[in-house]
Formats: sequence, C-alpha cells, structure tokens
Amino acid sequence: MTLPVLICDDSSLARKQLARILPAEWDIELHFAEHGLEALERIREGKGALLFLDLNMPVMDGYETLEAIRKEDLNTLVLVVSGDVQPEAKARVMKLGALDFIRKPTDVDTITLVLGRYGFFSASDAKQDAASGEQRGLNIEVSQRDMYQEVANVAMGRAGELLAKALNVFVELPIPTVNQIAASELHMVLSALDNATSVSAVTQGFTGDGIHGEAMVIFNDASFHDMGRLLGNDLKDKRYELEALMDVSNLLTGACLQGLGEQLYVRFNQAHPVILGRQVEVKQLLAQAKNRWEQVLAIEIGYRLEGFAIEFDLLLLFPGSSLPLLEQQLQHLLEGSE
Amino acid sequence: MSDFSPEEINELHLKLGILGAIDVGIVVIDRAFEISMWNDFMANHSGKRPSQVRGRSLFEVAPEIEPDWFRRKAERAFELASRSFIIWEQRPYLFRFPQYRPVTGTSPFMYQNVTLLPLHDTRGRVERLGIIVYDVTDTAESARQVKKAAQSTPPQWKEF
Repeated sequence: MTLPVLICDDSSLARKQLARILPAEWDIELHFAEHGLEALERIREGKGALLFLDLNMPVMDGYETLEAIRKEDLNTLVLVVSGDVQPEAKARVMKLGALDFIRKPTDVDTITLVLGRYGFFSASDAKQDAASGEQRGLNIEVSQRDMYQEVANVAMGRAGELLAKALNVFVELPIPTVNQIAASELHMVLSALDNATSVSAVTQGFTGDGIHGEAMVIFNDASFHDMGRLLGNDLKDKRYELEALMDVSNLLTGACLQGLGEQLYVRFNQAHPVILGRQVEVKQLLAQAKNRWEQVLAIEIGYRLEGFAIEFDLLLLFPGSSLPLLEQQLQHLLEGSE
Repeated sequence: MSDFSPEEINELHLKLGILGAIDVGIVVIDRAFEISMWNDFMANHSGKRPSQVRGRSLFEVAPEIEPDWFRRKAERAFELASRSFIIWEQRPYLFRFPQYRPVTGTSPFMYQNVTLLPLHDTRGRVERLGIIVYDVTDTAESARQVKKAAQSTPPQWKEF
C-alpha cells in the first residue's frame, strides 16, 4: 500500500534535501508543507500518515504543530528533523509525542536507519518494479536566499547546542534573516537588530578556501548582569562584562563557523576577535568602518535565553567578493555528493 | 624510531625547526594543567627551558595566571571541544614576559592575545589543550595612545 508521507519545512532547500534522500524503492506518495498550519491541513486530507517535521518555522512552529496533532488526535506519526539540536529540544518534542528526533543535516544512512527502526521501510521489502524509481524532489526550486537561510539555520543550531551545554539553559532559536544589501545599508541592519540604548560588540574575521567573512556578536548591555551570573564570573570584578562578551562570542562564533564549515566542506581559520565598541549606541559600532565593498551578504541570528533577560545577536557578514565562491560551495550542497 | 623512513624523519625535523623558530608561543597542557610542550618562544621569553617546565603545573610555572579564571576558560574549551580566544583588552597578558624591545619599547611587559586550542587525540577525544601566545604589544600600545590622545583633545575638536 502506498504510504502518504509529508515533509513540513519552511526551507525549500531542506524539503529538497530530505526528498532526495528518501529511499527510491520506498512506495510512498510525497507531499509538502511550508509550515505547521499547512501540515495540519494535509494530514486532515489524509496526505500525511508519516510526517517529517521541522521545528523552527514561521506561522506555526514544530512544537505547536505537535500539540495540535495531539489535541485533534490526528492520525499521523511524526519524525522531527531539526537544526535545533539542543538536548532540551529533543526532550520537549519527544514529550509532545514525536516518534524520533533527527539532526539536520541528515543523510541517506540515518534516514534509512530510522525508517527501518519503526518498520516504515527496509531494503529487503523494496518492491522490485519500483527500484528504478525516479529521484524525488527534483522539481523543488531552491532560491539563493533559501539556501543561505537553511545553512545558517543548521549552523545556528550548532551554536545553540553548545551554548545550551555551556550555560545549562534552553536557547530560543529564531529563524535566521538573510539579506543581500549595499554596504552603506549595514548600519540600518544593525539598528534594526537592537534598539537598546547601549550595546557592546566584538567582531572576528574568518577565512577558508577563499571565502572571507566576519562574525559579529552584539550584546545588549542590559543582559550583562544575568550573563555574568550564568558564566560564573565575579560580578564585583569590573572586567566581567568583557569576559562575558568574549565567552559568548567565542562559543557562538566557534560553533557557528564549525557548523557552516561542515556544510560547505571548508575549514575556517579565525582571527582574534576585535572589540567594536563597549557601551555604545548601535550606530557607533560602524563609525570606523570604511565601505570598501559595494555589497554584503548579512545573516542575522537573534538569540534569547529562556528564563533570563539575555539577548544577543550574531551577524555573519560576507563581502560581495566572497559570494561567487560561497555560492559554488552551496551548489554542492544542493546537488549532493552522490 | 625505525618505524619512520629517513624522509619522514627529515620532514619531522623540518617541522620541529619551524615550531622552534616561529615567533609565537606554543604550550601544550593536559587536563591536570601539566605542561607537555613549551616551544623556544616560551623558553626564550620566560628564561625557563622546556626540561625545567615539562610535567609541571602551568600555575606553578606561571604564578601570574589566575587559576580560577583560567581553569574556567580551559575547562570550557576541553568540555565543548571549542576554540576560544583571550584578547589583550580582557587581560593584558597570560604570561608575564618582558617587552620584546627592551630599549625603544614603551610598555614594561608584552601584551598578548591568546588562543586556546582543543587538541584531539587519535581516538578523537580532547585530552590536551594548545595555548598559542601572540605578542600584540605594538597594537595594544598604539591603541592606548590613540585613546589617551582622544581623551586629552578639546571637545570641540572631537568631530575630526
């Protein structure tokens, strides 16, 4: 019997990647949804006996979708496929009734293993005549922006995992914002990030395989008190604010670049961080910067720590000159390695 | 030694030569903070030979390092296998070394940027940490001078 399978993810890249690696011999009818609300509709129409569900999505996220499925007692089994890989995220979705939790980016082996574990598919019961099955997901168009967003999503998830581990908190992960802007607009991006009157920021250059970029961590100064406490820094010591800023930027930047590097098959070198400003207004951060490039790709990720008054933003910036190489690497990701 | 071919030994010799001559400090410690590597830069600036520091506690060899603070940094790097940076604005130095230019230099000590580098063993576990020490005295000194000049500039000139 043909199984109706639904992939729910806001990223076209993620939908395409997952569709491509589902076993070709598996007798299914594949449907897609871009957010939870759409997924619920498909399930009610009988188009999702098995649901691959992303967590961070607009309109209705994965947690809300799981809750709705339980409330309505919908007939579907859910495998969560998430870039948010904090242990707490997994614990929460399992509690909400998910069957299993799969880390992004996933691969053929993992998917086959999980499908086998729950008896959805095993290589031995593949139908002989379906073996030449057409490759799935070929007709999914992936925009450049979607590609950057999904790569950032996975990288951001890694950073969140590390941060959660280091601080023993749950990190609320947003949907990364991707903008290709003129360099002169960069200060507008920064102002939009944070309207806090006072911020502190560090920036760190990185490079790998000809791709150059900068990772900027911008900290709302009001967050320092809680942050210092979390990190175990001595609050009486005047230096703790800089320590907190550096600790967070080390963790975020390191994990994010590692996540990014793994997906792009690039090992990045990192320069030492440089302080952009302390206790300054956002617009002052770039006062010294010269607009040497015309265009810049900016990926903004705003982190919040659950239960704390802590907010900070990670900004990944790539100058226009790095974009052709970056896009070339991303193309590999889209085409897969087989 | 017989496991290595002459080419491999040559190669190793070359690498060790570069590690020795490079103008960057390299220290390797284990989880007990015992030193297992101390390159020429470290030996020359501290006046302590590798044979004098190997197997000893980092905090004993360099009492200027605040143990609580450094343990926290290092343990996080060990636990999370994540690279971490310490910049001179945080702490002017990790190791208190005299300034490199004893005659024309203005600072009494060497400002340092430091990288803590988790080192994976052959089984992929992180049991050692590399401490890489960069001399940034010139950068730090000029930054301090710019700041000083800005503070002493009459307010009406600040715009420029």
